[in-house]
Amino acid sequence: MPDERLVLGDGNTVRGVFVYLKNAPKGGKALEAPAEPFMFDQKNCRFFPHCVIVPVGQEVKVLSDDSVAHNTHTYPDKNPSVNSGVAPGDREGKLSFTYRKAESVPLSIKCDYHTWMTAYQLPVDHPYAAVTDENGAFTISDVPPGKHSFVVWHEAADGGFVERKLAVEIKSGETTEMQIDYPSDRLKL
Amino acid sequence: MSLTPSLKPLALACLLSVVAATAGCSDSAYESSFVYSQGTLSLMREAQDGTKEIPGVKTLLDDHFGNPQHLKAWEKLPIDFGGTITSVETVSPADSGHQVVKLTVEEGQTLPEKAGSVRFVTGACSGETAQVTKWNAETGEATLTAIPGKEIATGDSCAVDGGTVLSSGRMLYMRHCSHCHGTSGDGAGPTARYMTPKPRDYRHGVFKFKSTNDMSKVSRNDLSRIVRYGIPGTYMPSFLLMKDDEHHAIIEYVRFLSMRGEYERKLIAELSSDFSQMAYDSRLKSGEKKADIQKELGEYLAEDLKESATSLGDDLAEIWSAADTAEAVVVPAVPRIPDTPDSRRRGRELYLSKTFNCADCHGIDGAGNGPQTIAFEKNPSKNDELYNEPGLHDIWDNLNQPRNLQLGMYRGGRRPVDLFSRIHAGIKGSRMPSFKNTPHEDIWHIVNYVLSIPFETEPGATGIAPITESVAAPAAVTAPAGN
Repeated sequence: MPDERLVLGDGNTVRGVFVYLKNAPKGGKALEAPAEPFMFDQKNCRFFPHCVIVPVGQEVKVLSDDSVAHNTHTYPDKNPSVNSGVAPGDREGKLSFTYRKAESVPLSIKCDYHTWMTAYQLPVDHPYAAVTDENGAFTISDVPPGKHSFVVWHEAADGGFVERKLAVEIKSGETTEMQIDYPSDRLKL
Repeated sequence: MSLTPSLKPLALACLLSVVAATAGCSDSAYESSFVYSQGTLSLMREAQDGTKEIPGVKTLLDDHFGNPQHLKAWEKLPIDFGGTITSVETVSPADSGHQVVKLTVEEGQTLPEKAGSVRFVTGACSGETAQVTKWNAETGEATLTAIPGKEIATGDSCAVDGGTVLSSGRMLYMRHCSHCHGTSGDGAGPTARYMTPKPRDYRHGVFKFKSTNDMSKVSRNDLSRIVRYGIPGTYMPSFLLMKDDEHHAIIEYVRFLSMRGEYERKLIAELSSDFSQMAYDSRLKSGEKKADIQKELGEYLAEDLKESATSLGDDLAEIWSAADTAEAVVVPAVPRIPDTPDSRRRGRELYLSKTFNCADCHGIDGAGNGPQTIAFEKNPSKNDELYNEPGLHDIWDNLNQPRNLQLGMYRGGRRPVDLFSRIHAGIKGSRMPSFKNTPHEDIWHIVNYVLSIPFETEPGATGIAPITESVAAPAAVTAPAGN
């Protein structure tokens, strides 16, 4: 079973880092929760995706592509906790839930049958959030110009925070590029 | 707070009606206090206490819930605090220490037959109590003892015998419940350390044994059942000999403590990621300035937390009210499947099946010794640290043995429908998941099987029909389950 806590891409780039504004910025776009549900899947006793942003109000449906029992047990701070069984091979997503509140940090999701199974989800109430891909890249678009501070969070960082307040200045019509470093000796693995 | 003389916003105008807790009773010698949770105490000092003008977590808790000697009724919450909210329609001038007023109630409500005291919640007399010397429930005319130096005015709202249910609930709770569940409902009364399982800590707002669906709170009926009949297999006794109004008062007080604890937890959740003492230290270490963090906290308390403090109250009101509606209750879509050998056998198949896999925790013979009981779990609320001992833990960090189904002892009740609820809704706070998305027939088969386990000679034996019945029912001639 692969340990998914720290997955590196080219040049020690890190997958599954959450980068987000803590609060909706002034002059920002409103969040539009997609009408179609977000499909949260399980295969070979792993959750897919391991890390994801979920807009508040979007329905989450839980699937299983395994032939064994799973349960989806969420540990949120501000939303009610879900703990419900998912039948083997449920491709329809009978278990469904919806986050009603944004969380300050990603919440963990477990399967109690398979204690290694862990995923992280961050419910947000604005569109300025992203998770890094397999090569550590991410894009957050249409951020209103001005000074912002982003939260950078990863499950293997000490206390979860890579940066509590990453100061970024956004100029109108320009793309701001930034590399976020984290020393490997501070990882908690 | 604005004062509105009309009757409609009366309930809004008295968000914080203060209730007398002991009314001069001799028990006041035993002064007690609500403790703040570890979560609160781990916040930065300013986040706990607030500043002069801005409330912190402790201030918000005290403002909305008070302390045991001086409880506060947050009218927004769905708790029967007791008493009747009235409005002063006319006032006559004070005369030799007495004053005659005419009180009215909102439409649809009536004044109580008798009245002992009136506590003002708005106006110049807000917070003051006047004794009732004459009372006419029909006309609303009441003679009150005058309040020295203060004027009662038309439009003032006042609670007649306000908070009587809550204060009597507190007296009963302190006498019968607090030695295990603690004064604050934190499950840490003086006897708690000697007990396994531990008394419930109400402050999560989570109760294990309830008849409501998986996402709903415990209902008043559920709490009533627990208070009346106790929890078999635990130290929780039956209080069946108490009167109905005493049960009611205790339950309202337990709900009050639960909502207080939950409110505290939610406030902490707003603050802890940035303003816990630990976060503060780590922020200083990473180069942030002390003054900047404190300024940020000040702004956060003044704006964000103030806003959340109100909306959290609304959320609590909504979710706790919903638990007492018919929609919240788990109702099987089909009547109980008759308890036949076939049904038990089907139940055992399902018990061992990939969909339910009950045996993973409860063991193949139901002895509560499945493989999960020897696995080491991670603690999701402590950054996935491994627990020190193997086995299943609940959100209170207590080690839970999955129920030993051979004993025939069911904590949430032994009626078939109780077991149905356990499987359908799961056991909140524990690892037992809800199986709400499985066919109700299947759940009934499992109920039938589980209820037969204490009488099995060997695992699955009662699921195998006696020869006579197999012959009578050809459908029963299927492969025996469980091998």
